[in-house]
Parts: sequence; structure tokens; C-alpha cells
Amino acid sequence: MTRLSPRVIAAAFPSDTTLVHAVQWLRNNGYDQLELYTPYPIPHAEELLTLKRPRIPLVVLVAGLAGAATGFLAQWYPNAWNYPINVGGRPLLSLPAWVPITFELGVLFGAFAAVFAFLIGSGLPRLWHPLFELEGFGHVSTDEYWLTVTTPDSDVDSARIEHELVALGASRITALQESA
Amino acid sequence: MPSPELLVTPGDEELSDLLLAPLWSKSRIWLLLFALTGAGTLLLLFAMTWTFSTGIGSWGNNIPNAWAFGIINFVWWIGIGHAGTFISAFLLLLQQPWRASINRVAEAMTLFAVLNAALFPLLHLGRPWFAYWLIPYPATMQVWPQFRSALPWDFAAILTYGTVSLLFWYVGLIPDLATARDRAPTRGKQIVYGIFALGWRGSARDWQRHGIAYGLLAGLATPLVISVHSIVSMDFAITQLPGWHSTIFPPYFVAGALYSGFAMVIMLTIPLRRVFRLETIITERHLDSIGKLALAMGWAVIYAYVIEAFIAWYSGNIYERYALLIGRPLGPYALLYWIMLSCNCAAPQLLWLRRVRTSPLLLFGVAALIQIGMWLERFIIIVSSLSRDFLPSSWHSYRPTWVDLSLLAGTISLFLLLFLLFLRFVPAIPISEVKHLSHETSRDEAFA
Repeated sequence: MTRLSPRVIAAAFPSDTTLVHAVQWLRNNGYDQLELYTPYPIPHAEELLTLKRPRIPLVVLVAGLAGAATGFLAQWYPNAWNYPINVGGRPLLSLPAWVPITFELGVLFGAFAAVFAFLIGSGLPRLWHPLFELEGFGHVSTDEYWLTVTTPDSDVDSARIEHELVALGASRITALQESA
Repeated sequence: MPSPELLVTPGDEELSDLLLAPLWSKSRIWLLLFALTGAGTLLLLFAMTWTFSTGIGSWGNNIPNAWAFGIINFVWWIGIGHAGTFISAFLLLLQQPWRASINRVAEAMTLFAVLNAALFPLLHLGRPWFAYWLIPYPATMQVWPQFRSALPWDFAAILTYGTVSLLFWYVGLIPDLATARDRAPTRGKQIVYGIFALGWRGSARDWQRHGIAYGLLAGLATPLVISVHSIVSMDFAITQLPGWHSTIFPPYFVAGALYSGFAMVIMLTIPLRRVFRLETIITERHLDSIGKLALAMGWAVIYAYVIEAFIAWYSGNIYERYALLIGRPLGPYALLYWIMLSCNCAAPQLLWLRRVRTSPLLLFGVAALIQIGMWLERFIIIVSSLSRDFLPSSWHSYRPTWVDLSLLAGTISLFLLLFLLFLRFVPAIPISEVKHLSHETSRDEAFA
């Protein structure tokens, strides 16, 4: 969600259980364009929203292997190819001696890949977001549980959703009227 | 039945404010400690400047004792770091919920310990401005680093360890920096924490990716606990010196590293929970668990000592037999050797007693003894082996100079200084994780 359209409703709930009930109601009524904002990862959010597992592990695996290959080549090329030094007749292809750096660079590249895959996937860093302008959204990192729902464009729907969310315990509801 | 991980389940807002309080309030004790450790850090800078301007001849090192305080302190510091990674990464993978309260403190300890550790090889180079020669780059001199040597391994291991620890720490910190941003009392603080929080909003999709990335980083950091100190031990093990040339060194060093690291975690968390009144968050359960871990590692270290001595005898090699069975217990450093054994082998046996593990004062005392013992262990390994190698004609004793001692005292000050800055400016207890834990606990109670 890069822009908030006029049809986005944001609602704040005092607890994770009320939030979960609201999400269940919305999904049962066919409103699937949902996002939750919570102070900690609430259990079962993935099933609630039927989120796909991101492919970060695959990215990390590929990067880790690339790192290990880099580490290996960075030792093989200088010591065995470009400037070979015969040390007491030991083989130029000194595989056991190269294990540590090959391994370490694999881990290093993998770790960077994990961080970048997370940041890029989540669109961070992004210091400003339209949601930050909503009153009380700052509580999302402390003690409030928010959801945003994008509604199909009828006013009837919006009114119905707002009414129902209040009934389900929403303490604060903001309908975003203007595009941000 | 184990005691609980959290003693109270306060409201989320209360909890956030309790854990963020050190960020917003000034305290006299903090300023006093800051001034003290700052003075110690100045001593470090002075000793470093002295080393650079006069050369490492100002240290007590000589031939054959070419490695002394520089490498002792290096091994000691990097070992301390290992427990931080163990607690934050390994226990995460094992889903040990009690780690939540102390993992960030442990990670910060790792970062600062690695930083101090990395300083010593640089200083020990004598000409630290040539440190970049360790990187393979197409130099006009046409020579490359020699990767069959342990020193480039060390370089890669420490670089990776420091970087991965920093990434792991920062990724875990992002949600809490957002909490700090949202609860900042002034606009300036809000902007600073806002920049470091990178615009975190805590959406379900962000949490999902965050969780996956954090888990993967834990998975990547865990083998580092094993590999980094194994590589450090190979600096010794691949030489032929009696007392160093041993296949038990990698596991022996890893166990010793975790041992001193747990002792350091104990020494940091006990004053921390006392000063910031966090007894409800860092409970007796935590002290008890780290105490047990320290005891277990203590036995791993004792096992290594026994096997090391046994193999020296069993090998039939007179140099090995001399180094381990005569040189250490009866040689010129015998006093330090016996202090080391009392600190590392005898003192931790007190940890069998639950009363010792749950009494902050006693536990702190045992941890301090372990810390001293582990520093002495590195001294014994390095100096007693180097000072008496194969040929008695090349034997020479070792004595540190004031520069050596200032560097050791200075890095301890720098470590504490960085830790104080961390406590003052970064949420030291992971707020979102503790919240998560407290909600799970209350949910469990509701079902019970």
C-alpha cells in the first residue's frame, strides 16, 4: 500500500483479541484488503490474513553460497593462481586452510541478504507514511492494535463497516477522505 | 517447577514506559560512572598513542614472548562476546522464552567485546596503518595475503562476527526504536529515534518479514559462536609450540569463551536490574538459568584441562610433558596457574547450590572469580608456553609494562563506557518481545 485511497478505514482496538474478532468479521464479509498494525507480532496473523511466506530464506541461501564462492575464489586466485608460492611442497590448492574464510564470507553475505531482503520487502527505510498523520497511530508501537481495511467504493459498505467495527470494540475509527 | 520469566504482567503502556525510562531521564549515578569510565577510556587513548609513537617495544613483549598481553586480551575479549550470541541466537532457535529479557544486553555486550577484541591485533601489528594489507586487493607490490596462515582467518572471522552481531542487534532493535520514537517527550528525540527506526509501522506483513529475517540471522549467528573462537584457537593450534599444538583447542576455546561470557552477562545484569529496578523483568529465573549454563561450561573447561594434561602425558613427547605437567604447575607462573584452577574449577562448584544461583551477591562474586580465572587461563596458555619452548637457551620470562596494564584497564573502561551509553540511549530490554511474552503468559494463565 503506497497511497491511502479515499476508501481506507483505519480502526484502533484496545487488545489483540478484539482486533482478531474484527479481522474475522471483515474476512467473513468479504473484505480482504486488510492490514494490521500491532506492537508485537500477534499470533496466527499469517493465517488470519492468509499471508504468503516471503522467500527471504531462498535469498539468504543464494547470497550465502555466493559469499562462500567469493571467499573461496578470493583465496584461490591470489595464492594458487596469480602468485603461487611453494611452501615446503604443500599443495597449491590448500583446501583445508581455506575452509574458515570460505565459511565466514558465506555467513557474512547471508546476513546482509537477510537484512536487505527484510528492508526492501517492507519498503523500509521510509521515514514518513500517511498513516503517521492519523491521530493516535503512535500508540500502535505501545498498546493499540490497528487495522486498515480498503473497502469497495460504496458509501453503504463504509458505513456498515464502521458501524460493525465500533460494535466489535474499536476505540477509534478514521475514514480517510482525501488521498494522501 | 521453574520460577516464572516475568513476575508481573503490567499494562503495555506501563511496561513501555518502565523500559524506556532510562532514555528520557538523567541520573547522577550515570553521570558519575560515565565520568569514571570516560577517564579510563582516556587512559586507553593515551596508552594507544604511546604505543603508536614509540612502537610495541613499549610493551613487555620480547622474544620468545612475542605474543603476550595483546593476544591474551584479544582472546579474552572475543571470548566474552560469545555468550551474547549464544543467548540471543542459540536460545532463540531453541525457543527459550526466558532469553527475551536479557538478549539485548547480551548482544550489546557481544558488540562492545568484539570491538575491544579487534583493537588488540591492530595494536599488536605495531604498524596498524598497514592493517589493510590483510585484505586481498590488487596491490602494486604484486603480493597477496597468505591464506594458509591463521591471521587472515582471524581477520575474516572477527570482521564477520562483528558485522553479523551488529546486524542482528539492529534488526531486533527496530521495533523498539519505533516505540521510542512514538513515546519521545521532545521533537528532537522523536526525530533521532525516528531516523533509526527507519519508519517502522509494525504491520502484520512487516512483522512476518522481520520474524523470518531475525530467525535467519539467528541461524547464521549460531555457527559463528562455534566458528569464531575455533578459528582463534587455530592461531595457536596450527603452530608446533608445546602447549599450543593440540587438537582439543577449538572445543576447549569455545567452552572457555562461553564460560567467561556467561560470567560477564551475570556481572552486567545483576547491577542493571538493581539500578533500574528491573527485578520483575530480569527475575531469579534468569540468574538461575545463566548460573546453570556457567556451571555446565565450567565442567566443559575442566574436561578440557584434564584431557590436555592427559594427552601431554600419553603422547610421550618430552616437550609436551614438560610444558603441561611441569612447566605450568611448577614453573615461574605456577602461582597464576593455581589461582586460575581455583577460580575456574573450584569456585563455580558453588553454582550447584540453588541458593548461590539465585542470590545476586554470591552469583556476582562467583562470576567475578570466573572472569579473573579465564583471563589467567589465556595468560597461562600464551606466556607459560612461549616463555619455555623446546630449547632452554631460548627461554625468557615475561613481565607486562605499564602500557600493557593501561591498555587492559583502558579497554575495560571503554567496554563499560559503551555499555553505559547503550543503557542511556537504546532500549536495553526488548520491549516488543517482553510484551509478547507477557501476553502469552497471561493467555496461558487464562487457559490454566
